[in-house]
Amino acid sequence: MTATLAPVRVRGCDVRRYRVSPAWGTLAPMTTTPDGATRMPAADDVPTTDALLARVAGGDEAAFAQVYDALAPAVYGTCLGVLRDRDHAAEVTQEVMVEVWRTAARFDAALGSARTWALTLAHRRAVDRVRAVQAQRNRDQRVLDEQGERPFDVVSEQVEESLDRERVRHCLDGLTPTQHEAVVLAYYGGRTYREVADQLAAPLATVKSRIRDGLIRLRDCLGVVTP
Amino acid sequence: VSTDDDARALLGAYALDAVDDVERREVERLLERDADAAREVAGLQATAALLGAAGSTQPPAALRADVLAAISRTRQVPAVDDAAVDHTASDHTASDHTASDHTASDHTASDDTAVTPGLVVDHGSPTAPPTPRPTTAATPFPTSSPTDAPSVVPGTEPGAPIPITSARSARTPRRSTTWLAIAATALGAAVVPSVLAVQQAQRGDRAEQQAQAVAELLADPDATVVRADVTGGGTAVGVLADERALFTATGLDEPGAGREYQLWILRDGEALPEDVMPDDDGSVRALADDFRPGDALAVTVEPAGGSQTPTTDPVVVLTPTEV
Repeated sequence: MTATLAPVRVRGCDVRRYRVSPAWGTLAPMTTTPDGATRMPAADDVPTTDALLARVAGGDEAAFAQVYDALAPAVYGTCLGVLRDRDHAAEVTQEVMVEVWRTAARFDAALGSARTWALTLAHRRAVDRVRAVQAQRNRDQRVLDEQGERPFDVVSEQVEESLDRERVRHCLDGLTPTQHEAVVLAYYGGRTYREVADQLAAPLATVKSRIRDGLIRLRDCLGVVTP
Repeated sequence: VSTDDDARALLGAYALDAVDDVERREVERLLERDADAAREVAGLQATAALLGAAGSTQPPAALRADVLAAISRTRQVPAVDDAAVDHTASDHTASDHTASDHTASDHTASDDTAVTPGLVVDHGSPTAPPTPRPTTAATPFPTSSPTDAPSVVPGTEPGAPIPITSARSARTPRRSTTWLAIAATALGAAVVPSVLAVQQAQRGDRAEQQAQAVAELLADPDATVVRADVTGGGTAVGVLADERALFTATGLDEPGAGREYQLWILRDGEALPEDVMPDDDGSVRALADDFRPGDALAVTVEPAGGSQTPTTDPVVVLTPTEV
């Protein structure tokens, strides 16, 4: 995983690219020095959640506590982004973290980072919860109201400011309006693409493409590198 | 091949959990055999994870202690042996929770899919079972992830949905009794759905997925069964649940050359297009995934390939009140 990413030149801005490494399990900022060289962070600097998870798989509760500390804010944030309710988000976060413990042996670093694994699970469980509790109508309206602005931080003042967050915002802004709408409704709104199509009065195939193309554009903008 | 293309078009929606259960399984089957698709999904899931991580927020402080207490009571599952992703692997998972009431007949069902007694996909169990007995958590769904995707268990042999009931009853008598009662009700009202489940299980992957959806539908305690005569001959039966409906009809006339039966959802005075239903010796069937409470089902004869709006009058309409 030594793929290099062409630095993006933005006049007057701190130029950063990120890579997602399965070995690190987290976003690592890559800084660009004034002479244009890209400096990679040393792998040793980055907490190795993936390595901790291997210990968790062996029943190491202390290692799990570290994994909890590393992942719980992102898991909770993911749940909160979808559920928009602190109590529900906390419950689902607990479910997800216990599931991480329970199925740690099933985690395969070759397929993605521990963080992606946990957050994929978190989103899935949050969406399941949303579909189960049927607050759909209210949330729809809220998602629609908010999607043009900040889909992931309206619910909490305690959101952690981070580079990830700024990057995501920047890259979401880089989508076409229709891609943005479809991705936001699906991810943060917890809606199926059929529901998105229904709501936007767009053909199913069109919505499928918007979601996929939008995600691919986000992936490239965020510099996600996969195994 | 076209099914593969359909699944490929869904990769983005899959990465956002924006697909239904049947579509999810279609995509996961594609991922098992198509490395490019698997790679794309891995990247899109990592991207989606960043959308979630962008909202990182410290959870309530008390949650940490709760979780640490919960995991100390929670047994871990062993790694899945990739070479043995089959009933055995699934069984290990299930027995992990249910060693005390594990039985020899219990070689198919995992507890994870509490409402899918027939064709089981092992994606991990409900979280944090505080007791050995499997509970139906609020979210009894697969935990789709790159790690879980390859662990899809190819279900049971054709025709399995009915016998599985007994396998479940060995472990979860209360639920199974319910399921049996519901199944009996449904079967009493109309034999067609169970026959359908079996037939479809014999037709390969997609049919198997549909059969699972049928099994889920039959297990839904709120599902109602409606039936009506079809204009021109035949009988239509619908099983209507809150979020899904099964339509099936038998004894139909041929729709005519270049024409097909198409299912519609009637909602608020509008007809929403569903699948065309290939005529199978006078029988047709389809799952309506967009069905909502209060909707009705209708069938028309349309030009082959289907229409966006009905071009003929319906040959049958099934409404929820028509029990």
